[in-house]
Amino acid sequence: MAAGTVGPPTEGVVETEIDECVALFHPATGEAIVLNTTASDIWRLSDGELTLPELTATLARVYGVDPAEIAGEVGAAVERLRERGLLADGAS
Amino acid sequence: MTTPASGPRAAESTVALAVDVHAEVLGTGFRVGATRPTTGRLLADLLAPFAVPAVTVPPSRRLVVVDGCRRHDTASCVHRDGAAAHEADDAGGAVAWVLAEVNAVALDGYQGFAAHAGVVARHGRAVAFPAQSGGGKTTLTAAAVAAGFAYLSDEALCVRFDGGEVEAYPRPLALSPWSRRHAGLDHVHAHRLSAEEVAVTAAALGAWPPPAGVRLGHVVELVRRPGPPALLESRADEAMAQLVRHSFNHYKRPREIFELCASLAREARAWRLELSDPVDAAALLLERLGDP
Repeated sequence: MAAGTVGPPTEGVVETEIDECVALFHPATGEAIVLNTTASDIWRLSDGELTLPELTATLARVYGVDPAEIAGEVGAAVERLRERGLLADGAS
Repeated sequence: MTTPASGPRAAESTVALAVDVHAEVLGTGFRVGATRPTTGRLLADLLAPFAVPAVTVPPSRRLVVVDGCRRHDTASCVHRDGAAAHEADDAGGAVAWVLAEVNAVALDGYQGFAAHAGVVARHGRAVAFPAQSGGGKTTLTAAAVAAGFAYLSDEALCVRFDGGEVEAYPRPLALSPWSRRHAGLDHVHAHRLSAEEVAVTAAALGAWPPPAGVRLGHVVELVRRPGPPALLESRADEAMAQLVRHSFNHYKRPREIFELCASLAREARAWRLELSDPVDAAALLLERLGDP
C-alpha cells in the first residue's frame, strides 16, 4: 500500500459475488451493502496498487470512455467506500 | 413480605380470566388472556394458528386484556407481565395492541433471519414482497391469497439458518377497509378492531394450514405507479439488497445473515412488480410465478 493509492480493503471485510456485483459485509460495523456494477468494478481495482487517477484511467479504458467523463462518479464512489470504513487507505 | 393489596399486579391477580391462550410464535412463548368472554374469543381466534396445548418454551410475555378498567365500561387496558401497559378506548384497540406486542417480541426473539415482507407460496416456492409499513405488501398478500397462493405471512419472511427453509408466520392480516375492498375480500369474515382496521385470519381466507418445506423462490420489489401491472425480471444483487435493506434482525447475527441473504439471492429469482391495483397484480403473479 503506497501513499495516495486507493485501498486495499479493510482487513476482515467479507465479500461475495452476486450476479457479477460485489456484496460486502463489514464485521466491525455489522453493515452489509451491495454495490452496483460500477462500484463493484471500482472495488475490484481498490487493491492498494493504483492511485485514484490511475484507477479512473483503467476503468475508462475498460468502458471505452474519456476518464474525465467518469472521474466524478469514481471519486464519489471511492469516498463512500472510505466513509463506510471498507478501505484501509493510503490516501494522503 | 406479602404482595401489596393494591396496584396493577394485585389487580391482575384477582381478576377472573374468561379465556387464557397459550401460544408459541416463531419460537417465543406467550400467555394471552382476557376478562370478557367476547374479547377472549376474539383473541383465541386471532391467535389460533399459534395456539399450543401448553407452552413448550417459557412464556416471554403474559398479556391480559382487562375490560372496563377505567371509569367507562367500554374502555380496556392491557396488563403486560402483571403491570398496566396500555389503555385503549375499547376491546378492539386493546386486542390490536396485544397483536402488535406479540409481533414485536416474536420477531425480536426469532432465531433465524427475518425481513419485513409479505410472503405467499405456490408449489413449495415462496414469493416474498419486501417493503416497509405502508408499502402495500399486506394488501397484495391478501389479494394473492384470494387469487390462489398459499398464505405464509403479511409481515415477515422468516428463514431458518439451518437448511434455509422458509418458516410460516401466518398472523392475522391487518387491513384497512380500503385494502379489504381492493384486495377483493369484502365477502371474507373479518374482525373489526377499529374504524380503520379489520383483522382477517388465515382460516377465514381458506389458507390454513400453511404449507411446509417451502424454499424462497422469488423476491419481488414493489413499485407503485398508475396503469396495468408489469412484472419485470431483476438482478440477484437487487434481491440481496432488498433482503438486507428490510431485515429486522441482521444486527444480531450479521455475518450469518449476510451469507444467508447472498445464498437466498442466488437461489431465488428477482423481480420488480409495478402495480396500482392489487387484484390485477395478484393475477399477474399467479400467471407468471404460479407454475412449478
